[in-house]
Amino acid sequence: MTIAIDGADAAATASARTPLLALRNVTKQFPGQGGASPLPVLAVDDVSLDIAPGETLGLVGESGCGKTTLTRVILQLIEASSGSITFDGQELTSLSRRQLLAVRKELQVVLQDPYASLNPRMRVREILAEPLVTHHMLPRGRGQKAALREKIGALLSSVGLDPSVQDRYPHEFSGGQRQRIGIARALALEPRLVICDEPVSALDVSVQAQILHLLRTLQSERSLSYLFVSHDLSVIRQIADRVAVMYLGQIVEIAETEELFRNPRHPYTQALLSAVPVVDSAERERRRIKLAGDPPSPANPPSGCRFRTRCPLAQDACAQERPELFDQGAPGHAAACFFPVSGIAGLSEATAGAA
Amino acid sequence: MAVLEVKNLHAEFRLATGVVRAINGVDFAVEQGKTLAIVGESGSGKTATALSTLRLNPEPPCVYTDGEILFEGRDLLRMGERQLRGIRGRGIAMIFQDPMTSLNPVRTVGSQIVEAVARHERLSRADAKKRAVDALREVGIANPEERARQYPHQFSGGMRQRVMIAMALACRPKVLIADEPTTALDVTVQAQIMELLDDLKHRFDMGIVLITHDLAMVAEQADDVLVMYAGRPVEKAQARDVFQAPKMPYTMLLLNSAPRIDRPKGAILDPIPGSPPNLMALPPGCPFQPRCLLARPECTQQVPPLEAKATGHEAACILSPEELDAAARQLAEGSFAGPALSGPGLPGPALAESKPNGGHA
Repeated sequence: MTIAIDGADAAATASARTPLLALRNVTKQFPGQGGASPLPVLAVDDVSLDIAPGETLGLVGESGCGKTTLTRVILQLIEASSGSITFDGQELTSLSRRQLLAVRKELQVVLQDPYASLNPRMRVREILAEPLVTHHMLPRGRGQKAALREKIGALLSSVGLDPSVQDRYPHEFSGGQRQRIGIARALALEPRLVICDEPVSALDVSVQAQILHLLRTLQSERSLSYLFVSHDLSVIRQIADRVAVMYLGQIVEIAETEELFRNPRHPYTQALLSAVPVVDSAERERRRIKLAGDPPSPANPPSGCRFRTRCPLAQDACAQERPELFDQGAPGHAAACFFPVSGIAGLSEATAGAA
Repeated sequence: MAVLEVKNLHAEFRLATGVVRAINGVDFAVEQGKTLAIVGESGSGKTATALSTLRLNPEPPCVYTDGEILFEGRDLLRMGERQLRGIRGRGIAMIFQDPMTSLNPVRTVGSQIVEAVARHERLSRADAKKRAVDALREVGIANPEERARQYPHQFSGGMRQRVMIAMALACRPKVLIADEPTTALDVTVQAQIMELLDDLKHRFDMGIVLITHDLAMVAEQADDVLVMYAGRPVEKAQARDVFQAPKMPYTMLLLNSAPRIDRPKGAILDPIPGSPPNLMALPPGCPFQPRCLLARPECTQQVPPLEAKATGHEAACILSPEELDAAARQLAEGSFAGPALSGPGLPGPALAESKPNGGHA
């Protein structure tokens, strides 16, 4: 599969900078389980993506679409079945464990559930010191303790917590505060790329905005790159520079954020956007595109276009061949569809016409 | 006419570690064919309120200290377990957030619906089975005869929630309590389920109580809204009034801080500082006062009652309707500096949250 953001297109976009992280044709297949003839599950299927320095790439998709598997593959927590992952020009898939350790310093993760991702028996100080100890980032000999205390105090202030809380345990904090601790842990090694896997979906609505605000502030202070994974399109719209939409293991559309939300081209993106409830009654006038059924099983995906079984516009050709990510006009905008229509309104009209 | 009415309900949970005042003076009425949304964050008392309409909060530790829960004029708080059983399922039914944990994994879906029906009506086995199949068909499940013989793990998340709805509706309740019915589901499936509930509401002339934290879903689904904070009702009005002209600073700030898909990037988002309070140690006066950008010294003196701020629009705030409208305008314009606004100021990103308050109730 070719990606549309190469060659001439790339020159026109912000991603013309050398990407910090580049995925090329990354695939992850899990062996099947159970049953007489278990089918392998193709969780990530031929994904190519770039993340530029200082950029936030949003990754959206419904549960089971492979977005979390993709983050695990990038972090080298599970091995890719094929494809290439380069970070700052260095190929990650062929590194030894020792070499990988050095790269992991630059590549950190903030996890979804701040209740499950902090060890309840460790003090905040110990939680934040662990990465520093593992990566030998502390001065040796005398003064180590004081240096550590100071370093951890600074980390805590940078995420908006009082440095004096470092002797407390996780249960003494609220969900939002715990997520701040999780972010401080990710920042302890001064990474360049942070993978945020649903970082606000376990938080109360009034606290979500605080954490998004914090992530943005940290990004501009430290010129971080984020891969921001979420199923929540409203959160993605607030934080991402570019958005990739994933369906059954594949990227079906990618564009700059405002372009994607204003002019979605893939019927799945359109349906996804139209399914989100909105507060503004004027916005609600747009037609909701109903998708029938659930996403098919990744163990037995449909032929051709993965989305065709639920697509209101599917034609015979869609079953024959898998659509590549075709250029959609705007810089960096690509969608994997043979028959794209313009926007949500376009799809509702086309569907009404076909009916 | 209201089929379910809750009047001045107070309930507390008497735990070994202290008393949690989970419901403090909640009032609402549910009419047939209408949806009332109860909105709030975790620990706001919305689920405790929902469960109390079926007397499903475990007693003890839950004690109803005051108020009435009237279903067709009869007070549930004065009923014995036997009478309550007659109301649960047949009068008022409930669907829960997580359809996987609410279904029995080792029994077929059909037999679980049969059980619900048989509890209330004398039916032959064959008739009860037929009712189960009909119920599955009504909620849009294809091949209901075959599906009734399957187990919950053979259904997807959205289909399981349909099964829950089928079970809840099999006895034709007059009120359906839906506690975060789509939180565990993907957005495309959420849209299917909400449309189904809306359709069934009209078909069976049911009243729905929708418990949720999703403001946009409320805007789309509800006729009336009750906003709860720290176990208290803080705003009550028709849905469109709440979204057009909120009268309680909490609602205003929540609407302003929640990520919304219809707002472009950069419109972000004035976060509300701090986190929801601990119900075991409520702040003095108005429960929202420590986080409120409009708070005044008087706010710590007494708990403001829910009072009319406009026709049919109640809010619990000591500010006058004019002051509230001015604040709402300024918030919407992003300029936040009026004489009334001598609060702690806009929260900076590095603002520390208020003191740790443990987990949420």
